[in-house]
Amino acid sequence: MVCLDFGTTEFRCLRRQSTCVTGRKSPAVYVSLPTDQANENLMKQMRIPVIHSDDSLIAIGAAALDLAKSMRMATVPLLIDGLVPTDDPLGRQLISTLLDSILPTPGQATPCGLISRSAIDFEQSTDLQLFAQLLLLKGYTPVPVTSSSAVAFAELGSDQFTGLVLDWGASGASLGAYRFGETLVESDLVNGGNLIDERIAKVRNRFNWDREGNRYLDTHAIEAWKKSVSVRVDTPRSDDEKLLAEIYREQLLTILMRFKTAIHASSAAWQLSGKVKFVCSGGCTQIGGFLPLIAGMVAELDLPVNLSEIHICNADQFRSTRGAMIQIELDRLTEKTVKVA
Amino acid sequence: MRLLLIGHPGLVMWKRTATMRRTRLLILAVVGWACCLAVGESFAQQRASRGASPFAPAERGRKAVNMNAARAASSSKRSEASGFTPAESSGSELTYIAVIGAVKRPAVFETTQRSVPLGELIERAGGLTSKSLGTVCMMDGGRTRVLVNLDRSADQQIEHGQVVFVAPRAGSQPQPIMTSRQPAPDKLILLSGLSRGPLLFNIGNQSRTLGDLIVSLGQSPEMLDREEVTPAHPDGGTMDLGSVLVSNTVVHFSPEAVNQVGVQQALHNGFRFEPSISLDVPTPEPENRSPPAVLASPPIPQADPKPVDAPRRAPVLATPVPPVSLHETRPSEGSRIEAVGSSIFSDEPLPFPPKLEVQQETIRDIPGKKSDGRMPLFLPRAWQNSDDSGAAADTEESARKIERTSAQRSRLGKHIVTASAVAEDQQLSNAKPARATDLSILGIDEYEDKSSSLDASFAGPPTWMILALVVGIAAASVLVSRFVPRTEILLNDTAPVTESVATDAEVEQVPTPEGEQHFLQRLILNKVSLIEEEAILPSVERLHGASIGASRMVFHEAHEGGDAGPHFKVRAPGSTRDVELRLRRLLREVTSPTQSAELVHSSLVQETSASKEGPLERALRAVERGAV
Repeated sequence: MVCLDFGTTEFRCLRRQSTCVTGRKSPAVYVSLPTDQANENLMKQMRIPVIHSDDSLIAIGAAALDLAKSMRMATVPLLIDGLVPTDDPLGRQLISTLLDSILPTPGQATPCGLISRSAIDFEQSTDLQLFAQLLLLKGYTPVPVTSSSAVAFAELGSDQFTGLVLDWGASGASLGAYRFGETLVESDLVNGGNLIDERIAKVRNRFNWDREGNRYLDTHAIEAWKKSVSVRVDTPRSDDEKLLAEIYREQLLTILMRFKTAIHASSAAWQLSGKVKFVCSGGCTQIGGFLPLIAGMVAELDLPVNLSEIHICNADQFRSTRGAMIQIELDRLTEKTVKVA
Repeated sequence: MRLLLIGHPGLVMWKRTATMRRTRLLILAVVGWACCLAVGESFAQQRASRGASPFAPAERGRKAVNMNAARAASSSKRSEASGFTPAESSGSELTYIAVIGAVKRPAVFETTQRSVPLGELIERAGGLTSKSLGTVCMMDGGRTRVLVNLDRSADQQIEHGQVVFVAPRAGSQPQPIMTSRQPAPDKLILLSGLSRGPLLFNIGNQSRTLGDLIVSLGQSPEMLDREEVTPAHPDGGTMDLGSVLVSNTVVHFSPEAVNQVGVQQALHNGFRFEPSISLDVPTPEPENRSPPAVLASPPIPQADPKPVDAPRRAPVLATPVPPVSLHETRPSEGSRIEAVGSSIFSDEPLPFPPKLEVQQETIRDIPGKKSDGRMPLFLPRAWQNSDDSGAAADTEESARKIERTSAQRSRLGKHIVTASAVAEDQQLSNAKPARATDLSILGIDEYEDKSSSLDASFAGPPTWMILALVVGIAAASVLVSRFVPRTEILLNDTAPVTESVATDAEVEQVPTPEGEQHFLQRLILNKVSLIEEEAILPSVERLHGASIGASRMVFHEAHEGGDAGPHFKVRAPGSTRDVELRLRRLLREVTSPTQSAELVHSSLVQETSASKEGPLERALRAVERGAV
């Protein structure tokens, strides 16, 4: 069994071996250089594998990161806001190439968990359709799983897969309520960590320039600043921190309000009658002071769910894929049991 | 005599007598070896039975470690000398991370940061040893995550409670050397889940099982069956209660299943852990590391003593105070020693803390009494101030004595390191001397040191006995080869090979439903080992399409003027390069029979109207019109 997570920052793949699991990940970025003999020689000397396109030399994955660091170039993400670019044929081919690098050799109709942030229906998402087609061509049977559901299966095992899950990544957030692994309510937000970085970079005039004079938002600097120890969103001290805390508060308020509305509209509230756990996962939740911030906002909004604790998961790139693997395995076991009965 | 015996019938008799003598020697050697082992073992048992815990901490470095912990107690969150932080002290902001395995200085590090890059951790642990495989396992709880490529994972952030295990090469585990006088290397066991962070435990060279460890920590052995204890063997094998603990074994206890009362009881009984090392204190400069001194004391301000990045083996007081003769027992009447520090042995050069310098000790003999060349006594600090009358010293004489002493100790096969903790500035000179060298802090350590010296003397049999044993074995093999009839071993090439078939069958075993459920359980509990591979790019030569991704990222295109950003010289539209290219293309198209003149003209008009024209380009257009 294989599970795939097409994250905005990296593609991850987890596959089961006999008694352990093997993970592969690759940054979902590429760097292009003009096709030039000097550049080709340079790439050969640096032993960086490149792909020739019509007008440029392209390095993808970890090699692209190395190249961008050494030559002070900007990396280009393969996914735009977590979505496959529709007007970039080369980008789509690069996605397929990167997918080949993390996928193992397929067996016969190997089930493959496909993690999507917003939808599990192939009809709803063109991205899912593309990924599903790619996987079918490579010999896999795609099984879509939403990201928050995958986190629920990964983190709520001790609570019988019952509780609330917030998965807030680089390109969006997903908040869901689950009971015994069944999805009760799910709400999404298309704003993620990348959008926050872009907004701060714009407001604070953080730019980079390339050799041609083009100007880019310096989101890497914002990202590095966010990871520093002193930055806290619950008790902001500087103006930058206040701006960051405001954006965080605004985004959290949006998704919590959507969730509250959805849970009021459905019968999920009374199904979650007991005290349940609230699990927060994803890169955006790793910032300092996130726990007090979300605890305060949950209390302010008065969610109709009794929470026993709020837990921030540590950074684990393969959490979603592991959760998807658990979900597919459980489904498979259940099917087997039903067939025998 | 031999010449006379040649050809004599008595030669045979002589040979027999010699054979019997050799046999006797062999028997004597074997019996001596066995006696030596028995005495050593009984002494070790007697010593072990004195301690309340079956896990007596390692003799080497024990005192210094305890003193380290005592000094660190006022600043560190860990309680006193045990190196233990209760699990419930969640208010602590410190992050504890352990590095173990094929690194030079395995340790538990503490820091105020949320996470530390893997590369920095390994660097602070002294770097990789030559036995390192280059693979790193990150253990988080009972789960193992393998990072195959360490170079790519140097930026990997390690968080609180995680254990970094640098995998050694297969078979590089230190084996106990029975034929050496040197003691066997210490075994470091890492325990996680017992307290807020991982704990490093040194069991010395004792041979103990996992069951002993669990029981002596006040826990139930059934925890292993309930998978509340997850042991990780450094070679990757499985462990049960009877498995002997080897160095670098990691044992994880489920925090919710740990009996904290038992742990506290174990601590009360004398369980001691290695103190954690602060990562927030900068590493001493390399140039200060050169002197081979064994001083772990940094320039610590007295108001806020803080444990520093001292080498794990630095505070080692392996060799005890030498046997005390009557006239050296106390510095009374004539004998007086002014050495501020003490002299200790070390088997490796170790880093030296900054602002501390190696200082030769000054030893004075009894006035009027000639030195007899005996080993000088380096007394505890408490005894040093007993007689201050003869403060003036004869430096040359003392230096000569030190040389002599050094030579004597060198003959014993050890490297002498003489050091003192006198610092250059006044503050440091008022401070206490180095942890390892200051014997005056703990009076009880003298006893421990003597006992450890006894242990060191029983570390192995003497060399002559080993030689006798080797010679005896050789003689026995000769005898056996002479008298035992040889059995011919016939190699049959046509013998059926059955083992390889069995191996293939084992590889392709079908998972049973029970096995699948067990795997799923472990997956849910996040206890399945994760091996992280490097993504291998397929060999793709060429892709179709132009790269437009970079243009999406542009926030503002290159501009001719403006008020923000650097100004680049805009390339003139009619530059020589452009004209040359366009001229070539034009000539190619015009000479092609398939292209009509109208098409060329229309394309040129479109291109030129889209861009700004320079004078050269206008001239080119005129030429083109003429050509058409």
